[in-house]
Amino acid sequence: MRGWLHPDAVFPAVLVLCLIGSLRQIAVLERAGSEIAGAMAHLGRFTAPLGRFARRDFDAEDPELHKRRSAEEAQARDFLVALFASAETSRADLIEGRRRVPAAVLRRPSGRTDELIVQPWTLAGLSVGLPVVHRDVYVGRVSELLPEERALRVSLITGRDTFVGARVLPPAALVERGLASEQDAVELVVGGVQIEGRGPLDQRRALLAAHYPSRGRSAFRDGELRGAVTVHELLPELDRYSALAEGYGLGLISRGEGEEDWRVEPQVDYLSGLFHVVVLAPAEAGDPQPPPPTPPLAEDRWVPAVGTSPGDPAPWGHSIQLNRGAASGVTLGAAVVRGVRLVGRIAARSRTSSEVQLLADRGLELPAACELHLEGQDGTEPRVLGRITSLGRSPDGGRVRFHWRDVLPIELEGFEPGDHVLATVYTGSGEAGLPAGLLVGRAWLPVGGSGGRGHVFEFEDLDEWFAGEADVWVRRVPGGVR
Amino acid sequence: MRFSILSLAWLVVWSLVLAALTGMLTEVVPAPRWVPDLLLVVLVSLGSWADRDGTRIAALVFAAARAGLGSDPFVAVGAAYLAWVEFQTRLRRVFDVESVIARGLFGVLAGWLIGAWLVLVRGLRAPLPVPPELGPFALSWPSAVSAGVVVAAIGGVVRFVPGFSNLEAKSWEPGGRSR
Repeated sequence: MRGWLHPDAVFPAVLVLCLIGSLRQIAVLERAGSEIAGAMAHLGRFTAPLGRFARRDFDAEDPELHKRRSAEEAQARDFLVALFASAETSRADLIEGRRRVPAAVLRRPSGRTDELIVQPWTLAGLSVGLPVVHRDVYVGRVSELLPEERALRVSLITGRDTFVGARVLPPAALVERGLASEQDAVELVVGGVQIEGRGPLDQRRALLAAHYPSRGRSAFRDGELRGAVTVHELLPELDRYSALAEGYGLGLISRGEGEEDWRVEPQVDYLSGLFHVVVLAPAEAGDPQPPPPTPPLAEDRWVPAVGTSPGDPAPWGHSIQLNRGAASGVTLGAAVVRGVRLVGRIAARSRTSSEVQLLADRGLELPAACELHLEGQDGTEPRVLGRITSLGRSPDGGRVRFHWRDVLPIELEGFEPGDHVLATVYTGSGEAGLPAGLLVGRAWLPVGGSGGRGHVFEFEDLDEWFAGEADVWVRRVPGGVR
Repeated sequence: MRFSILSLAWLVVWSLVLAALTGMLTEVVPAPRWVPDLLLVVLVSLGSWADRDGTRIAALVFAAARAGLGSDPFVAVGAAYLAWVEFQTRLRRVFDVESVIARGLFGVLAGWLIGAWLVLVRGLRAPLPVPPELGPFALSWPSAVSAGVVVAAIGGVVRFVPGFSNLEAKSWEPGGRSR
């Protein structure tokens, strides 16, 4: 061999390419590596029997297990219904004269954090410009209909080109004492984001930007503007749907460093806390409320898969190879369940195989929601947790720990910060391939805010659920799955 | 070295068996951090006596097997294994690396450095929201110690195992190509 093909030239060149590819993910190298690994995973299926030594298998006929699974399935189904309901407002004045169409957040368009792709229960009567809300909070408006996907694109109020007219009414206490009246309301425009704080992303706080505030008479007398910001268009004739959003909240007004630096503290986590929303349409659109969609576990989008590797050779890794790949419709990030429980997500795939990142694998992320179990209460309203990230097992090989970036901390009457409350954690929505309402496990969640650091909590019961077989969520194409 | 399709097939089979055995052990053993990377054990053994180009090919096949059955990316494992082979095969020109003690020390060093590298790459690709309790070097030393013990104990046997025995370096002799 001569010149470039000499081993002393080829192997160092491969080494350099691998080094660069390790430190900086380059698409072509990643793809090549993935194909090579995929081919080896395929060839390595003959080692699958070793997995029998590694995993505890279940007795499918075990009545206790069967009973527990049935109960968990019913629990997950109820939770999903409650999760949809939790996006609804209970205020009669915000319901009247409006048709409300619930929608599940499917995903965020790639690289666009200020947009959502949502799937409403029906597209009938929906059009561009309709307001989108979550509970009593205005979150944005419909910017595009996507009939092929049976979905809508929603521009969030955090986007730089999305604005809404708003006002701050004087506090009720001042009105009652006759110190202020509705005429003292301050009008403003809200839209876009203002970042508070510096340093790492998780230590910054995103606030809604407030523009052009009209100075109400003495700004509520004491010079310090306070109160809730609600949607209120000064010129409703310019936007035919603006009346539908009238009165929905945006947050609490607060002042920044400068004299004219006003911003709104949001009431929802726009980045990772929106799992379900409601599209408001004029009541005269008249279509009856459609039935809720099929629960994810009942959908025909699960394909059975078998583990083809006994375990992860990396002592700090927790992954399993499955015998299903892109040819079966498996997508990156897709949910993998065992029974009713989420066991992991697809981290890599080739044509015929895929790698499942198990819940115990450090770095696995998922959107989550939970149901708290409080003494004397039979379940509580679902609560959005936002993103949780696996920190792997504790160093002594114990339970699986997760980090929770508590943008919306749990605050409960009768509980002190630092107390813990038992919760059942489920998947949230907003990520392709991961349907909402899949059971993750039970954990004791900390009460109170973490001051931006996030909380770490442990799952009590994640140990026993992968046993060599699982079901993978696959993409749907016209005419069926795959 | 005469490297044939059969040699490659042997390497593929062995690499998959060793990767699977390592994976199985990490699931079975109560303290998975102490499980040695069996592919690395064999690679360190090969590095002390086998033909250099054959060891380089073995490094890439081993990397593919480990990436195929595990979660570490091929480029990261490939870089680590290849770099180690380059290091060890250069060092063997100067030192006797075939003794039990040398093999053991090489096993520990390889396990420690390669383990730390793989943890580091993992952290770069998927940064955790909080710093882990154990850094890359602290995390990788238990498996490095195990690798050292295993390679010292059975590293010498590898040269008699079908599929590896044909990687013997004729070039070890004075004037051979690898020297």
